Amino acid sequence: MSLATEPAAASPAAGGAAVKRKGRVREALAPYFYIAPALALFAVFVLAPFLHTVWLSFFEWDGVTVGTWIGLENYTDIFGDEVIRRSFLNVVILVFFVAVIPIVIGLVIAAALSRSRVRGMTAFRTIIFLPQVISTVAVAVIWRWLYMEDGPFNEVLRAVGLDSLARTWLGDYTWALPAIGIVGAWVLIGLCMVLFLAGLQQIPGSLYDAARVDGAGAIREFFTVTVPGLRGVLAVTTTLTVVWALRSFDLVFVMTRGGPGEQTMVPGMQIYQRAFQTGRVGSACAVAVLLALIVFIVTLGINRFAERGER
Amino acid sequence: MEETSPEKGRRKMRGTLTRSLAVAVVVAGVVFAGCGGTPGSSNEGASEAPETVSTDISKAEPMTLDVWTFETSREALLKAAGEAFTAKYPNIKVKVVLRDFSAYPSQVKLALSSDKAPDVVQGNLGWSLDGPLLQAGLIIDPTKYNEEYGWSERFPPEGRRILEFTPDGKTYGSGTLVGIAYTADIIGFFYNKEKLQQLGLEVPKSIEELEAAMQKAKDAGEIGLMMGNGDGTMALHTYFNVSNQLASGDTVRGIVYGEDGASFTDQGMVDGAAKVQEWVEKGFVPKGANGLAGDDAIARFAKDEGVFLSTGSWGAPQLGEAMKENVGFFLPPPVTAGDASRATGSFGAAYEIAAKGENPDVSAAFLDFLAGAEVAQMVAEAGDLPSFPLDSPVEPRFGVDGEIQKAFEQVNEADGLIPYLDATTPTLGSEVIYPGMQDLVAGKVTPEALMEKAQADREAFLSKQR
Repeated sequence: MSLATEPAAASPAAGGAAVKRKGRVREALAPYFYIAPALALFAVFVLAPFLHTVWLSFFEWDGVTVGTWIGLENYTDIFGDEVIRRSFLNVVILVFFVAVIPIVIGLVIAAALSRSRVRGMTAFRTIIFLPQVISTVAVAVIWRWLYMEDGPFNEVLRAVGLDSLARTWLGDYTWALPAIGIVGAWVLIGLCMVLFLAGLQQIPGSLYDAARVDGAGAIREFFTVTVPGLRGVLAVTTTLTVVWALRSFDLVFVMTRGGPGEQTMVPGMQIYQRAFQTGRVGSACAVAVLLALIVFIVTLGINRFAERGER
Repeated sequence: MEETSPEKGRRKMRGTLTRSLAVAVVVAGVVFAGCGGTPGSSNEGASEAPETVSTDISKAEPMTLDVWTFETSREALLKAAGEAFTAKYPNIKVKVVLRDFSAYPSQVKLALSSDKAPDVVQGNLGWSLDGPLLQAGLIIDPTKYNEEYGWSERFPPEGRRILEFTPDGKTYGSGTLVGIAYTADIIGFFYNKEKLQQLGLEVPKSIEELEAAMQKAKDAGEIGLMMGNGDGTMALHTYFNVSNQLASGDTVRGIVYGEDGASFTDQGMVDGAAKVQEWVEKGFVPKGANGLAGDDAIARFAKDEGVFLSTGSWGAPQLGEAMKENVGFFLPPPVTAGDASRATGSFGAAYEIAAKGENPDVSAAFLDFLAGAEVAQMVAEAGDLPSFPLDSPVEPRFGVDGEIQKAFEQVNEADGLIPYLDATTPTLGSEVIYPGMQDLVAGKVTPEALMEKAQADREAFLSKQR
């Protein structure tokens, strides 16, 4: 590889140079051999399909007959597409539900669970984490039933005399998206909590002792010791939850298919519709590439932000 | 990072980063080279429609005929038809493969272009699937078989157009039959006989009478029109029932078959949408219909909720099983009592001959068998609606199935069968009209705006076809 010549050029030209050079080359290449198996898998199963997607996004293609190269037309089309804009806007709203809520609640629960010696703590932890291990489709089916016209939520509302609030939540233009967001929050609170609990164990107990000696109460302790100590974990949870919102598909697919109207449309649903239902593979790929780019930028941004805070 | 200064660490990291980037670029280059090229194939390897066709397959090489379907509820029926076919031709076994409907178009396209292609596949009406399959050369143009077997003559001329394409797959509604379906369907109104009687009403003979009946039902605390519009299709089918009467048959057919001059913005088409919206506003349909799945609405109707239900004949077996004699069916009433009704329906989602199938003669013989009296008999006995006339009348299984058969005959005698609007373009259904019908029910779109949107989708598609 061309990389190997650079260090070699710096060494003096002498009799032993060849041997030395060989050794240095081997040394320089060694790390790549270590990562080669993983890199190969990554290249075949992640990179290649991704690049293939990028390639296809320049075509108008129905999935079967010969495609036509149309350059960037798919991209200009989706930038002007109202439904696509709407679906990305919906993701922004979803982020509030599946990132902000789980992180805040997860953080509070984790801090509370770690502070006090609660009886049956393992049981609590397991119960809160449980939604995370249920398949999303099962979660979606359960919640779809909960939200139904004659489902438990409405029954409860009616039982306490709030009949006017009862509605078919998933068919309501205002409430369908928040309803899905709440399911996302319910799923992700457990994950955030477990990550925070793990992070808390990394914070040296001496810091808490010091804070207590200085007379800090529970709340002060939370903001001066716990939160700063969890900065790294916060970056991880933010990344995971925001990306979860961006690539959400399964919940929406099972619960509303993007409806009513286009109230709960998300990019993932658009990709599915275009690629598998209406035979516009090129356009679907363009949406996918755009989505991947946004995920990449968001992830990078969050990590930058977290790193800057660390220094 | 404790032992290195942050500065040094950063510089070191930058070096690593550059090197990793270089590796990434190399890997990407190698990978990219492997996936270039224009996607898709021109399907040259596929067999063209054979020059000579044979209708005698009793001496054909023994084989298994792979038949793809997406109709879950008719799987048993199709299997039974396959067994009957094998009984007639012991050299041919039939294997029915059931596929999920939601991703069916892409599945079937991939399967048909693979080396292990099925022999017979179920298509779907118009531009939703049949057109793209024919254009891509994935199914054969069966004109020769059609001439040999005389399939076309078994259909009424207007009704037949629903299954017709020009051989190049460019124009819908004329040309040759793309295939054969053994079950037909028609959309109309189911009704709860007992409830209608309790309200002191008879089967409505005009749109006005229907509206009066729904109003009376509502005043009596009943649901006038049961509707579950979770996927937008039940409001669409209600819309068909109205717009087919308010707009002329030529208009609707012209829209679907891509004729110049026909448009979704036709006054009758707009008025039909306005009627649906009006019915929702007047409280004839259940509150929150957009949050109720169509299947759930049918299930609720079967449990004695609602006076009318607007859906297709496919609901008959479930409703008949649950409600026995208490469920009836009538054609969408015309504007003026006594006029002939037009109704949306079809001669089914056709079974078609795969271009890469093993032996097209055998596939064609199977299609002909599906179009025969023996299968029609089996369909009628199952309480379903056969596409083709029966040799001898079959005792209705529930009652409502008999009413549907009569209604279907009645519509076809007047040549009043109207194609599905969803078949107008590949995108019209899932991207425009299904979500649009939810918007309409929720009062989020005006009838005019919705029809303009539909027309824009249609025009964009037609300009691409030409």
